[in-house]
Amino acid sequence: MDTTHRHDGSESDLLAAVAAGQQSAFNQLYSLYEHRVFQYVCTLVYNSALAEEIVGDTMMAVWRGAGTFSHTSRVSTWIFGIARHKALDAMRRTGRQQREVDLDGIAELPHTEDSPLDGVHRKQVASLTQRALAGLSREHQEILRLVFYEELPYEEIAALLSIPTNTVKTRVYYAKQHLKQQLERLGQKESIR
Amino acid sequence: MSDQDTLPAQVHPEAALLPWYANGTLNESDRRQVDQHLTGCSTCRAELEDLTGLKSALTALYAAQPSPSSDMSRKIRESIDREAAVRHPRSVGQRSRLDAVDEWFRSLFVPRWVPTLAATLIIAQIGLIMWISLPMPHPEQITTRALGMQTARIIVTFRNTATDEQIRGLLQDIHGRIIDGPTTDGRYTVEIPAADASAVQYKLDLLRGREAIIRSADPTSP
Repeated sequence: MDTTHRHDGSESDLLAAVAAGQQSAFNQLYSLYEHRVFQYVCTLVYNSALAEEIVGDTMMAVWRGAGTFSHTSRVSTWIFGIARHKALDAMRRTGRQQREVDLDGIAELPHTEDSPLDGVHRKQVASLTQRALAGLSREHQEILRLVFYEELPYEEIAALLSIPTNTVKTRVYYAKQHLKQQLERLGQKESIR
Repeated sequence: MSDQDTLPAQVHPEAALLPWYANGTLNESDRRQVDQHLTGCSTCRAELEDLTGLKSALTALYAAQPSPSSDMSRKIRESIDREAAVRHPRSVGQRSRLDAVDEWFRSLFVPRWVPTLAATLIIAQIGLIMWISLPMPHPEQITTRALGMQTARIIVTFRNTATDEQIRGLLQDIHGRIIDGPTTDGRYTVEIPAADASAVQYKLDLLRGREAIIRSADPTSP
């Protein structure tokens, strides 16, 4: 099991310290979430400048509202919930629907432990996966991130998205099916070239 | 977009739980259900393998995605500094030692067990105060029995020539103390620690050997 984001107990303590007004605690929490919240919001608003604005609003809300955290969910679910509400609000305000963010540079990042051949293969896989993901709906991209990267339980995803748990399960199933179809389609295109 | 709320008929219900089996967040009951199903279903085992691969690919992809600009971090931190300055009038750069002590003290209350510890200490203090304030028993009520030690009593008659100093020294030698007397005929009751009859006899012999001080020494029941 991947343990990328296993900070629940300590994050809860950090949030309590933020509620007590400790800036050092906020800085630690900010470092843990800056990248993740930005990426998550990008999945929703498709615009990096707007996403940065939303992340700023979200983190200010965390600073001001840390004392209202009820401990009924993970800290991550609470923070992503704030970010999501702010993103949806921004989308309503701007009527933004088009994807403007360009993530093409991702596959170009070097991976120091790769052999040249591994590196080429990794780039190809990353590029293919990235393009396949881009072909999915916003809802499918969002839920795949919440399950496989943020590692949230289905109950918390249901609360975050305000949908029944059964819908969470079926949404992930169909998101995965669509991603698979996209990968197969892109793979065929690649082989034709 | 509207999702279908049901899975295709050929998909096992346990397959819907596999993404969370892969991310390790299933509750005990669901996990047991999936474990049991996986032992007999090669289709779901293959699906799980597929999902595990997908998770690795997506994790690598997401982790490598661009970070927000440093400008964003700077703006947020500046906003927090401004708000913190409003909450605590001294600016961050001019924090006094008192502020540092205050912050340290507050940090003690961050772990959730601290209030429990504080409550325990307060209860212990109240208990201590109550114990101290209880009236002390009168010295006459104190006996060595309270200490749980076995004792014996000896009736002793001192010679008229014996001095106070000699009597005190003798009592120290036998670790005894006068608990009663003198009677009208000059007898004292002396209590001594004694585990058994031989210990009593040893002390009686010791007393009787001090003829210059002791006229008589006889055992008695306590």
